[in-house]
Amino acid sequence: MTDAFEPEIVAFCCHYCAYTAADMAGSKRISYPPNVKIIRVPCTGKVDAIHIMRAFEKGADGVYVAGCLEGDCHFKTGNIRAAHRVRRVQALLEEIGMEGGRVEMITMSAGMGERFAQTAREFTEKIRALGPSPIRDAIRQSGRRAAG
Amino acid sequence: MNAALLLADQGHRVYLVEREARLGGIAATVRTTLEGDDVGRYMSDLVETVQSHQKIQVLTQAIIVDHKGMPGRFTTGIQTGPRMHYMQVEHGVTILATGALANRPAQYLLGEDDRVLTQLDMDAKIEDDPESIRSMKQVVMIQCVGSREPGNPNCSRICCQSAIKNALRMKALNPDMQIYVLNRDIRTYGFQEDYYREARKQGVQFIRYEPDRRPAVRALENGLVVDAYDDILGCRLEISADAVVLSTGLIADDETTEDLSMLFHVPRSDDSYFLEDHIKLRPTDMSVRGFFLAGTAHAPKSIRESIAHGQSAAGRAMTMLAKHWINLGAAVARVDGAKCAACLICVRACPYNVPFINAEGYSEIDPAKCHGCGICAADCPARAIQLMQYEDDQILAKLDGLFERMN
Repeated sequence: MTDAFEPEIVAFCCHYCAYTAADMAGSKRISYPPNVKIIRVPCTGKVDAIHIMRAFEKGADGVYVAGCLEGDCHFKTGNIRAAHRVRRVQALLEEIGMEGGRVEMITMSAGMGERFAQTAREFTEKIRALGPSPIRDAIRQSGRRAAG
Repeated sequence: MNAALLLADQGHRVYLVEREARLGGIAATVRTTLEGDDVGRYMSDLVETVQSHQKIQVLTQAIIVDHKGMPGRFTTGIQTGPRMHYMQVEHGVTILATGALANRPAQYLLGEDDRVLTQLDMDAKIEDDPESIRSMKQVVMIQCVGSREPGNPNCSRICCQSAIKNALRMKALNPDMQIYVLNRDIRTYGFQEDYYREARKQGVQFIRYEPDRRPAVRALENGLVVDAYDDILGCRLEISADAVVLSTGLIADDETTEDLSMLFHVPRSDDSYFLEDHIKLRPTDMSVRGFFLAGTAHAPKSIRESIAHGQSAAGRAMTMLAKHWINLGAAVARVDGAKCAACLICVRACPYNVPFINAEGYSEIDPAKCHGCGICAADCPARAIQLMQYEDDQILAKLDGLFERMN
């Protein structure tokens, strides 16, 4: 394995906006970095802190929650709840000594294929600049220890 | 209207909600199509049939004010008539056919000089005032005015055919007339290509221009002058013209689609048209169940295509209306009564006020009322609520699978 750092990013996308925007990016043939792995949820309000934390626990370098524009949530207020929850997870990450910026809330409308691809690129670059998550390093080391 | 008629003919009651005082939209102002269909006659017949249909109630000068319910049982509040009388309508499905607007950008002296017209103006002029066409010697048409550019990036789809339609009609009235069509590309798709060939055969000149070297229109005392750059000849042209016809196409009715998308929670595309659920697989259904889309509210379309889209919307709507039962999605929240502490968090969190504490003392969620957002499941401190199809186990398993190769 080469040592070039490729960030692992999980994007929780709501079915009605961000996931459709990702679809739109696909139909418009707009490419976005393969670092971003999408998990579809019905609404960003469904994304629990435990889901985000599990992603980090498993070795994700960054996580973002992508939902509808404020006021456009299909379920009225799910995206606002998600934004609150993301802020709480940011505080939790800071508390355990990680950068809060590794998790972010992003909003877009269903038609914004270009914005979806652009945020995927920006977030990937941001995480690349932050470097690998300390948990990921720890996982790899413990893996080596187990193998050795 | 076509969708309404099809559904009404199959025995369903239809409320046709029209914002204007009359039915028909832009189509009511169009005289003929490229293929030579008499649009005026078709529209007046259609309006007549719709208005006299026993199963159709036409509400004009109407605006939508509120909306609630679920697929198969919506309730929408409408204010209608000059007095803005409020009424509520119960309905099983909703078809959005709000149309688009004829674009009229202030370019190339449109609105300043009355010798500069749009294709829609010219369409009417050819029919109403053929003498003026016979007296013209040279006419210049400019394509892609106000579309395929920042602000309205989509192709309006109808302009190439309406330009060729009007060019052929003018040629029929006045065969000696010289017509120049300044274009970026000509897209007369399908069998319309035959008309494009016919126009070339009759001597209509098609000249390409690049967006960074747009033509310019100057008004002189005795006529108009169009300055253009011909890519093929590699030189500047100065064409004098008795009239300049701009192909301005359609633009989304931003205000209407914004209002309705807020009320119905349906998505819009970047350029303010309504967005279908899937560009190829579900072009008529919207992402919200029970909502269908027809005509130019979705994207610019020709009249024939709009009618086909309306028929398609009626067909899709029938699949819901014809059934006595509606299968609701299985993605609903379910409460584990043994874990529930009746803390009321779900009761407060639900955007639709579905959960309640039942007689046994735990939270209950009616699967028919649940919209399946999962907000309660994420908020429940006892993890007593799971959203079917998106259970915590499933999401965590997805994460495990994603990082399997790393661990």
